[in-house]
This record gives sequence, structure tokens and C-alpha cells, in this order.
Amino acid sequence: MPKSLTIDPSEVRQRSAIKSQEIPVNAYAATPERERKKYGSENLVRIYRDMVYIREFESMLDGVKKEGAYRGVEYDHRGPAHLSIGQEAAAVGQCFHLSADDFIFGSHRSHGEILAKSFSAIEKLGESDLIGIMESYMDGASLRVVQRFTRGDAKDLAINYTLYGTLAEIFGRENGFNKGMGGSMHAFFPPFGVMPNNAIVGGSADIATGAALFKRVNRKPGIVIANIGDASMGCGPVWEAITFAAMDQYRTLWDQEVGGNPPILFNFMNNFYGMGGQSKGETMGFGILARVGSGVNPDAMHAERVDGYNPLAVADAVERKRDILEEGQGPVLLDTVTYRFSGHSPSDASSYRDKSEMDLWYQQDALTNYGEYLKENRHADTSRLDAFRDDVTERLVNVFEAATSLELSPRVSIHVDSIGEMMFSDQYQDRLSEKAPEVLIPKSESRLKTTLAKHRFGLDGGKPLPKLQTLTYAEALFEALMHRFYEDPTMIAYGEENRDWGGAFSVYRGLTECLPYHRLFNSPISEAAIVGTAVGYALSGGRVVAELMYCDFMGRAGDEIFNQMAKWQSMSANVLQMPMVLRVSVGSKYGAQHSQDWTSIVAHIPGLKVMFPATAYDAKGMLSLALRGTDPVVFFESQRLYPEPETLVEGGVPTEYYEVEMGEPALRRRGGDLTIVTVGAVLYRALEAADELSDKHGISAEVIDARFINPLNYDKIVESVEKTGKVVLVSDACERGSFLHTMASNISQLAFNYLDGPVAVVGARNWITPPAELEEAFFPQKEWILDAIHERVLPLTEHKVSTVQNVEEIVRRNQLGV
Amino acid sequence: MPKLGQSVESCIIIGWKKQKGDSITAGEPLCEVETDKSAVEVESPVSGTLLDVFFDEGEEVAVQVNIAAIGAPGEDVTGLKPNVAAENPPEDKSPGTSDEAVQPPPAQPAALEVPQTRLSKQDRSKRRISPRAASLAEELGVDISAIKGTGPGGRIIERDVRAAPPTALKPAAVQTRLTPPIQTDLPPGEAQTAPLQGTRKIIAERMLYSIQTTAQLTLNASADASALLSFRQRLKNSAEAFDLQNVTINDFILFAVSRTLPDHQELNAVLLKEAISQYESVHLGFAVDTPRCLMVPVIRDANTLNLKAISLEAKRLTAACLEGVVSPDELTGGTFTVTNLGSLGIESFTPILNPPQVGILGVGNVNLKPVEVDGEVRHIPHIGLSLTIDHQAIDGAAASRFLGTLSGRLTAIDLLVAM
Ligand SMILES: Cc1ncc(C[n+]2csc(CCOP(=O)(O)OP(=O)(O)O)c2C)c(N)n1
Ligand SMILES: [Mg+2]
Repeated sequence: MPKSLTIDPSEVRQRSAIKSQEIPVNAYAATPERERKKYGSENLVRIYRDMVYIREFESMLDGVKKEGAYRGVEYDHRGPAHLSIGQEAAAVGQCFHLSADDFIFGSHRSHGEILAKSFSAIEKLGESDLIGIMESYMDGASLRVVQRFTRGDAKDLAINYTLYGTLAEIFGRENGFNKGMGGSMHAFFPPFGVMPNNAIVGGSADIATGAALFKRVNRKPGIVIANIGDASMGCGPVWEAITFAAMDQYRTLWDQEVGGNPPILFNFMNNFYGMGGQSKGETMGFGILARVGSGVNPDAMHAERVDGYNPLAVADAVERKRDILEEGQGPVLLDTVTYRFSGHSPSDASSYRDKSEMDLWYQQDALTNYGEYLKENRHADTSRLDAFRDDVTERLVNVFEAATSLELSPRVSIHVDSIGEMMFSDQYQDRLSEKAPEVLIPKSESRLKTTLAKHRFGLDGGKPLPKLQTLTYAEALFEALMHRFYEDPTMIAYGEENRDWGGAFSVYRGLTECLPYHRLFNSPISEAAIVGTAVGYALSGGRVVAELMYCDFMGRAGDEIFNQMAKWQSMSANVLQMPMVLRVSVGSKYGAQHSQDWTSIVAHIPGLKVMFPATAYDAKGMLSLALRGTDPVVFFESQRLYPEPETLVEGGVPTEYYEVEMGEPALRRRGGDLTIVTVGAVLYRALEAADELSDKHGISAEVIDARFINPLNYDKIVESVEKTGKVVLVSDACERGSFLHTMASNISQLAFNYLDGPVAVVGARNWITPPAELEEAFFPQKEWILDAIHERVLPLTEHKVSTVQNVEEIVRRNQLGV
Repeated sequence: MPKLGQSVESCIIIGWKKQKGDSITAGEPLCEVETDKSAVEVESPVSGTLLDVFFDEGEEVAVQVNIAAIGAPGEDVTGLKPNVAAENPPEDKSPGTSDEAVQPPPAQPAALEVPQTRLSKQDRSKRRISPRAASLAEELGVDISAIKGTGPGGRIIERDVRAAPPTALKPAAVQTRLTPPIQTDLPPGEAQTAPLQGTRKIIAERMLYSIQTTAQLTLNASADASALLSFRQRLKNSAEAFDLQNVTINDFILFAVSRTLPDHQELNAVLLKEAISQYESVHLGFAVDTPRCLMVPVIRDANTLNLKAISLEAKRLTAACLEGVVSPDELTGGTFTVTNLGSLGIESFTPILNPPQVGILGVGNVNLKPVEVDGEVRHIPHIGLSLTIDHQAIDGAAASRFLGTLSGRLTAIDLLVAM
């Protein structure tokens, strides 16, 4: 698309061949002497210590799950424990060269990575930094527990703090790193660069890429590693993340100064198995996982297979790759060979592997071999090495006792709404960084010149003004975006065809001229990665607007919306914020896969705010609200309404900044006899119905535009229903499972004694959306609303129904499932 | 159980006229039942043998429920037996008496006899009224059984309650009963004890309700009855063809009241929940003493009827009450009541209001009263009038003015009739 890059036929049609980049496999070849010189004995021994700590920590959990006790202290741990016994060297080696500025994201099997990364950060941070972190994190609650049984310096304290914070989290305690809301598979601790671990296989790939994008765009130090399993190579979102990270534009189009590709390392902890399926030889076809790199870009992702049973080989690889990433030459793929001795989970009977295979790996146990190496090269003697085991056991006994004690480590109270309070951060912040926003032209020279000069209200004395001269819904959205782009330097926007084209519906028209590439760019057609990277960007501290063109494409980003965007604020116990707006639009005319209103699907997911403006005033005021907040918002727009001016809110769309009140429905017409509540563009058909009710039947209908789906303040609706006693709910969403039924149920509970009839729901048919010419049979029309009122709520005199809206029809349709 | 009037939801079976095994012909009385307003005989709709009766005497049965089976001897009628558990929800067990352990398991929802079509499912809901209409009806004291629903499927909706005719107004049910601070054991000695039930129970509740919820004030007066007596005599002696011989003193009173109330609308009114509704039309109730109990049928639009018409209607209603065939709808919706104990020799008494009405006129007997006329005491026949009003709604002076107008008009009844 960019005009600066020409697609030259004579070039692309030329005969040639692709030569694959060579991919090194286990190429590490340093001598013990070189290693002694590079690391020194103390560091080499500390690597061993950290491996022992992890082995003991995981073995403790193994015992707890299998025998219900550790060292005589009984405990029943109900939750999961995916252990990494056997994989210690890969984790410790990886973290050796990482600092607290470097982020690692992980998987369901990441206890070892949490410990390794934390111990590495502790080693590098100064004493006062460590104390500062521990004292401030959750007001020092866990520190106070750890201080009860720890004597020693700040590092000692920090090590115990890490062991306790992780274990308390695994056991679901309020002193856990995430107040127990994450648990074993999601525990993390940002101050040490340990970022969210993800129980969705491969879930970290795009989130980590988004974090790397955040570092790039905001010029933050450090690299980002996604630690994911070998089996996740089969996950679409992982491939999407890789494509997103490998885009050419970072180096071809973005300002050089930004730094090139996001510093992301996809590290596959390759233990050769999913749960039981074997990625080598059975469920995948790559033979050697690292081969995948050659399919991605000319650099073959600088891919390598690394021997994860040698911590120094891993450390070496990460150190080398870190340079590549810092130069902006990423992404990098590492295929880190390892093996888990433990089962996938405690229920694993190892029916998929032979004991003989496990014996082969036991014989090469990295912990034993590395210990031998240390002894052989006289870095430490047996007694010193053995002392680590005693040391960590002593620590773990104390930590275990504290973490299992309900007095020292209570769970969050469920007698108050503690978890409810974590669902949203509910903050409003003008900017997430104090730097000056990077823009290409002053606001005054932008397209705002044109939009601000337009009529702000679409009617003059009741007559429509020319549309071209009147501010539209799409332009109102543009104004809201412009405001925040020029306020918040961290704010970026991307999606398909966003730059140059201006977004499929031209909302972004004029932004290309204002914003450098790194603040507005085109993504690959990778909906999962669009949303997933935005999640990573937001939880790293940046404001982001991801766009999916049609809400129908949300299915492609299902996990990213339902499990990631929605849940990380609360799974982190509000350690993270999610200042992210996902723009989607409800289509029409494009048939079954482009015209569904999916508000109801997201309404069902806890942790999302959901908005759907139906007028230009709200388009600007609600997007402004969403963009200043710190919560994830799925922002629905209507393609029918993009070209429409404001015709309902008197005074039209203000030129200045304003926000609509969160969760507050809008009264569109006052009436006393009947209430119609709408969601989305159907508002205008409801108003037509209201006209007919008053003209032909003398019934004055009150029309309320819900405009918010979550949160939603029912006061106005209930007040209206208390007055009228009759209510019809209308939306373009398919009727079955529609959010309207939630609303109907709430209304009938909140206003039961005031109801003069059942709450009638009018939704789209439970069909595919038919061709444009037949859409009127699918989406609710004025007549449907009138007929539903007539049949179910209030018979209208001399009204002849033209559609079937009676209650028998409800039964019939449900019997047929349509 | 036939539906004996719009407002009737259930009836009590007072007695079976036939026993199981008896043969019965269509039209023959099958049993006697009692609604809250009257006792009625239920006639057999068909001829045949009484194969089974499903309820005992004294039991309350919802209308439209099978009470008996009539057919050919030997026929299987088990399918006709109503499922009592489903129809009459079990009464609340008072706390303390219930013993979880020994209670039988809760009844399984009865298998439905009706074929399970969609429509019959919807039709099964007995009370088709919106919650809003129901609360409004309660607030306004509208008897929902007396109105027709215009909502979908005949549901009573708000507008139906608002459009309810005054005849659909009813006294609210007794809400609380005071615990009597009196002995609860029977006095010693033989006694014939009958449960307080049926109409007696309803009357008991209404009387108590009346006394508990209204501010009753009775005013006594008397009216010169000379003209009344002579006019009455004149009619008695009139030619049979006029059909006026049976006009009673009470008919005159009803007539006079029907003509006086429109000029004193504050007495032709009902008081319901903070609102007083005055009526132009006079729906005149009058007390009828029947062997079973006191009944108050209502003469509709009495102010539009002439003396003879009032007299005929009063006769018809009285007869219906005595025969027990008065329809429950004829017993509701009055705006004022007249009760007459004069024929029983009572001079004056304190009539009890019939809420939500705010006035009731008691009529005593005719007595000679010494009156000074032109310095000379003469004995002139006077008829006793005792007016009870609800002092919440009406002041004593207004009520006195009404009594004054009324006695004036009774004194000149011949002129009033001529008007
Ligand atoms: C999207 C998704 N699919 C399936 C699962 C169930 N599951 C959990 S772990 C796992 C195997 C993952 O294997 P791999 O990625 O190699 O990681 P490892 O367990 O070997 O560390 C599966 C299938 C899941 N958590 N998420
Ligand atoms: Mg694996």
C-alpha cells in the first residue's frame, strides 16, 4: 500500500530461487576455560544454585500434589501444578544475562522461569532497589510475612520473598504476587521483569510481541521473551504473532530512530511433548522446530536450536540474540531443547512415553551433569553444592509453612466484593507518559480544520442539511481519536488498512498525515495478533486502539478478546491496567459473515466494558471516554451510521472535548405510555415506530438508547418502565442469547410490579444474514416493533400486523431452533 | 363447579342433594354451594348415575373444577378426578408444628391430564392480569373479576383497571384481625357450635373491617310521615291495573333517597386509599333479611327509575335473595345503602357502614310524635331515620343537611313523586 514502496513487475517476475539461511543446531562450543574467564566461578556456581532452587521448589509441589504434604506439613492444594522438573537449565541459562528491564512472558509451566528470572534480577538490583520494590508492592504485605522467618541481607530476603510470593500465589492467597487471582499458571511479578504467564497454550506469543512493540515505540530498554512450549507451534495466534513481529515495515517505513523490529524472542521450551502428543514425529512436521524460522523472513528469524540441557549454551544464545534484538533485527526464534521428568500435570500417567526414554534423559540430567562440570573444573566441591540443597530446603520449609497458614496467608475475602473490585481499574488518565506526543503536523493543520468547520447538527428547522457539509458519526470518532493522539504520547493505533487507506470506513482519514508510522500502521491480516499485541502493549503501560474492521472478525481473535484482554487486570489483581480500546463495527449488506451484531457475545465476558454509540454526539463522547480510561473497551460502531450526522442531540456535536457519562443510557424521546429501549442503529427504526404509535394510535412512547452494554445503569430504564409499565427492547443482534434478554430479565426483576405486560424482546432473526436485498426480513424493522407491541404488550386499535410477533411464534421458532 | 358470577373464584359445598349411586336427571339439584355472597343450587347438567363425588361437604372448590362424575354405572371415572394438590396449594404449616423428619415427601407435580398443546399451556394461567394492573386494582379497590381484559389474550392490563365501572369497586379484604382480649374457652354448658364459614364468615369479616377501618358517626332524626302514610294508603287502594298496590314504605324511602343523593353527592361516594370518589349515578343497596343471612342487593341507577320501577326492582331482588338465586354481580357495586328495621318495631339504631361506601341510612318504624302546632300539641306520625356516615369522608354538618333535605322530601313525598 505505501506509495513509497513500488511493486515492480520486472522484479517480482524474474526467475531466481530462494536460498535458505542455515539454521544452527546445538552449535555451542565453548571450552571450560573460556567459560571460567567469561563468567567466573561465583556466577557459574550461582547458576547451579538457581537450578537446585527450582528443582526443590517443583519437587515440593510434586510431593504436595501426590502425597498431600511437604516435610510433614500436610496441605491439600486443589489447583493445578504443571511442573518443570528437568527443565531448570533452560530457564536459568536464559535468565543469566537478563536484567529487570527485560521481560519474560510464559506458559502454564513457568514456575521455574519465575524463579530464575527473579533470582537473576535480584542479583543485579541494588539493595535499596530491592527493599523499595518489596516494601511498595502491595504495601509490603508479603514482605512482612517473609521478614518473620528470614535473617540475612536484602538479597536473602528477596529470594525468600520470591519463593513465598510465588507459592502463596499458587495456593491462591492474598499475599501471592497476584492476590491469588492468577494462581499457578498465571503468577507473575513485573518488578523483576516477570510478566504474565498464560494458561492458554501459545497465549504469550502475541502478548509478548505487544510488550516488545511497547518497548520499541516508547523507547524503553530491554528485550522481551515469550516462553512457550513446542506444541504451541501449532497455534494460529503464535504464527500470527511471529508474522506481526517480522513485518518489514519496522525497517522499511518506520523512522530509523525508533529502532527497527520489536525486540521479541520467541523461545520454544521444546520438551518434545504437548500433554501427550509428541511434536517431533507425530503432531507437527517440522522435524526440528527451529526450521520454522526459515519460512518467516530472509533472516530465518535468526533461528537456532539450543541445548537446553546445558545452561551455558542457553545463556550464550540469549546473549547473542539480545544484540540482534537490540539492533532491531528481530524477531528471533530459539528452539531450546529440554525434557520434563515430571508429568504434564499430576494426573499424567505417562502413558505416552517409555520409561527407557525417560531413563535416557535422567542419565543426562542437567542438574547432575552441571554439578559434575563445576566439580571437575573446580568451581565448587561437593559439600558446597550439597549445601545449596540444604539451604533451599530450609527456606522452603519456612515458606511452605507461611504460605499454607491461613493466618499469615489468608485468601481474599469473598464476603466483600473484593474480586468484583478487581474487575476494572476504573481510572481516567489523560496521558500515560509525560513525553511530548510524536506528531507530524500541528493539530491546527490537520483534517480537524475541515471537520470543525462543518455543521455540527444535521437538521436545520427540521430539514436535513447536506451530508457533506455536516459532521458525520465517522468524523466524530475521528475528532475523539485526534484529541487523545495529541494528548497521550503512548497512544498508538493499528489494524488492517488503517494507514493511508484510513481504515476501511475512513474513520482514520487524515491521521496518516498527522502521525508517524509507529503510532499508526497497517498490521498483517492477523486478528488474533492485532488484539493480542494490543493486550501486550496495554499491559506494559501504553494506550492502544486496535481495530478489527467488522465485529464478525472477532471470532478470529476469540481467545485474545475473551481470555486476555478481558482478564488480565483482574488476574493480576490490578497490578496491570488495560488501557485498550478495540474498535469493531457492525456491518450490513455484506451477508452472513459480515453483518452480525456481536455485542451480546462480549457482553457475556466478565472484564470487558462494552459500548455502542448510535449518534454522532455519542460517537465522539463515548470514544473520548473509552480513550481516557484504563479499562479494556470493546467499542462497537455501526457501518449504517458512519455517514450520518447528529440529528437527535440538540446543539449537535460539540467542537470541544467532552465525555459521555459511563454506563448512562440516553433518553431519546420522552413519552408516558410505553418504553422502547434500543441498542445500536436500530434506534432510528424505533423512533419511526414511536412516530407511528403517536400519529396513529395516540400512544406516546419513551425511547431510550442504552448505548452502553457494560457497565449499564438501569435507573433510567427502570424509572421509565415504572412510569409506562410497558417495554419493548430492540437490537440488531440475533434474538437468541441476545443481551436484550439479560436486560429483559433485569427489568422484570427490577420493575415487576409496575409491568403491564411481559418485557418484549425484538431482535434479528436467528438466521444467517441474507443478501442485502433481503436484509429487511432479518433485521428488526419498524413494523416488527409495532407488531410485537400489539401482540405481546398492548393491542393497538385497528392495527393490522404484517409480521408474526406473537408468543406462539416464539415457541415455534425455538422448537425449530431458528 | 360452575362459575357463579364473574368474581367467583371458588365455592364451598354446603351439602350434596344426591348420594353416590343415586340416579339423577338433568336439571335436578345435585348439591348446594355457597359463594362469598350467596348460596346456590347446582343442577345436574346431564342425566345418569352419580358415580362419584370428589369433594366433601364444607370443602372449598375452585370454579371449573370437576366436583362429581355422572355416567353409566361401572364407567371408569378416575380420569375425571381433579388433582386437588395441584389446584389447592397446601396450606402453610405454622412454624414449630412442622417436623421435617415425619413429613411426607413433597407431592410430585401432578402429571397433566390436559393434552400438552402450546395454547392450553398458556390458558392454564387462571389469573390473566399484569402485575401493574393487579397493583393498580388493589390500590383503587377494583374487583378484577368484574372487568374484562383487553390486553393480549384477554390479559387485564392497566387501561382496563382505569376504565373499570364503579360497579367493579369492592371493599378491600380484611387485612388484620385483632386478637380478642377475651376468654377463648367456651362458657360451660351445652352449646351448639357451628364453624364460622361461608357467608357468615364473610359477613363477620366485613363487619369487623367496617368497624376497624371507618370513622362511624350516626345521626338520628325523624320525618313527618303523614303524607307518606296517606300516599301509601292511596296506592294500596288504587285500581289493580296500575300495579301500584304493593309499593311499600321502604320503596318510598328508596325513591326519596335516590332523588336526594344527587344533591348531596358527598354521601353518594366511596372512600378508597386516600381518595374519595363521588358518583352522579345512584347505585342503591338495600338490606334484605334472608333466613341464611343479611344480603344487600343493589338497584342500579336508581336515580333514573321512577317510584314504581324502583319498587319492582326491589321486589325482584328481594325475591332473588330469598330464593338464593341472586347473582353475585347483583350484590356488588353500590354507592349508598338503605337498611330498614322499622317493620321489626325498631325506632332507631346505628347502621353499620358497608365500605367503601361512606353512608348508610337506617329506617325505623313510624311513631306518633307530639308536635306543637299553632300553640297546640298534636300527635303526628313520624318515621325514624338513622344515618351512619364515615366521618373520614363527610362532616357531620353535611350529613345533617342531607338528612334535612331527605326528611323534607319525605314530608312532601307526594310532591316529590310528581316532580
Ligand atoms: C488453547 C489451549 N489448548 C489446549 C490447552 C490444554 N493444554 C494445556 S498444556 C497443553 C500442552 C502444551 O504443550 P506445550 O505447548 O509443548 O507446553 P508444555 O506443556 O510441554 O510445557 C495443552 C494441550 C490449553 N491450555 N490451551
Ligand atoms: Mg512441550
